[in-house]
Amino acid sequence: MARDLAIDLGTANTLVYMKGRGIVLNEPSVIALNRQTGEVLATGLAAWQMIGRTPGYIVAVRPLRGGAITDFEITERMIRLLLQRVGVSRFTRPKVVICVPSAITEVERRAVTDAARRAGAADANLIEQPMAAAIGADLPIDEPVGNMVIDIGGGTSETAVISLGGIVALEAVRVGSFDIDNAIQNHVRREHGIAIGERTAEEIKKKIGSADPTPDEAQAEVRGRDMMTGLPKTVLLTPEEIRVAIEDVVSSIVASVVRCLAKAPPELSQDFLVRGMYLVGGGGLLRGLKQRIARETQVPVKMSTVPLEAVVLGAGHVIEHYDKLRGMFMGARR
Amino acid sequence: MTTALIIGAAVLIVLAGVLLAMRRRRANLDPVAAFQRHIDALSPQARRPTVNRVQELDEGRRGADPRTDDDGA
Repeated sequence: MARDLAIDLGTANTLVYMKGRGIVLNEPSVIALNRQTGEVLATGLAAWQMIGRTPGYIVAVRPLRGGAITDFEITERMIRLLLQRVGVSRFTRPKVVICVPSAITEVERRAVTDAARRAGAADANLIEQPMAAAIGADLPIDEPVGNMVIDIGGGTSETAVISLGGIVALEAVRVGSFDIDNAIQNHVRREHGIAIGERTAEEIKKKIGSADPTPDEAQAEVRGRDMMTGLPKTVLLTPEEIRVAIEDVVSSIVASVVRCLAKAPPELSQDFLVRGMYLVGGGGLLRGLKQRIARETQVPVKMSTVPLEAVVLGAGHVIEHYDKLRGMFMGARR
Repeated sequence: MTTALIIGAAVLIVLAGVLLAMRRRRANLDPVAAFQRHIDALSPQARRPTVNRVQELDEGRRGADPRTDDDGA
């Protein structure tokens, strides 16, 4: 008998929760393929380590962008391998709940459920990421009070107001921490004339990236390829210039939070001033983002205790109470 | 005699099954009961086992491997 699964199919990472067991897999959403034969060479962490460092015949790709499937076939193969790794075989077909961004289209939704079914799931249902995040972050969403959750992922940022087990207001933008990495890559190329890879850009973000000035600021040395000479070169980056470089992305995220606040009914709005908003997702770990959102909205912002696992934890709770919570699935009648 | 008992027991089991299914169906159709079950399943008490299970797993993982993953999700 297969144990049912909850999957947080993120643009950056994929997490799998197994019913009765907890989180059994947490790896980057990357797959490495042999370009000539199409064979899968590695998935997850092993494939992520190959990004930007592969010979011509290997390609390491992220099959999801902006929370949506960009390559159906590769995503299906990735899900199949993930399911195999957690013990799913052709004889044990589990029910699967998959977390997806609320902003994806009907076609994109169908692509995810079809990929999961073809990969070995007996039944595949979708749940909105902010709802799963609110459950996983342990917010009192069963009460008639305003709970606000901001989920900043690799490809999407979603803000939702939740009360009595349902979404009251929602705002989503297809902007996330990968856009911050891209902005850093572009800045270093434009201002310093050196090319850097996406993993280096991510390291810079983690080291000195910030949305607001912070007390512990330091410079960072970055190595890349000089665009003029083609030779390796080292430059020194400051937190101020990175802040300027990522400003467009950060302000776009903050603006979506403001729009969601504006959509909330007044009775729930007053709850936020007391209870605050909860930040989840890897993108929420950007230094100074919590302070920046709090400053611009005048509402306290708290970081979830499980920012990276909140979404899969919420979906895991739904799979544990599948029959009682099936009304939460996207497309289900409430 | 034995055959009658077996048949009687089988009929009782089938009847109990039908009654149970009817009760469940009625509970599912009742919107108030369905909403209450939905809300109850989201209560902190109902969520506690899920959260605890993950915390236990996390503590076990940290004990076995000191690395931490802070990659974006």
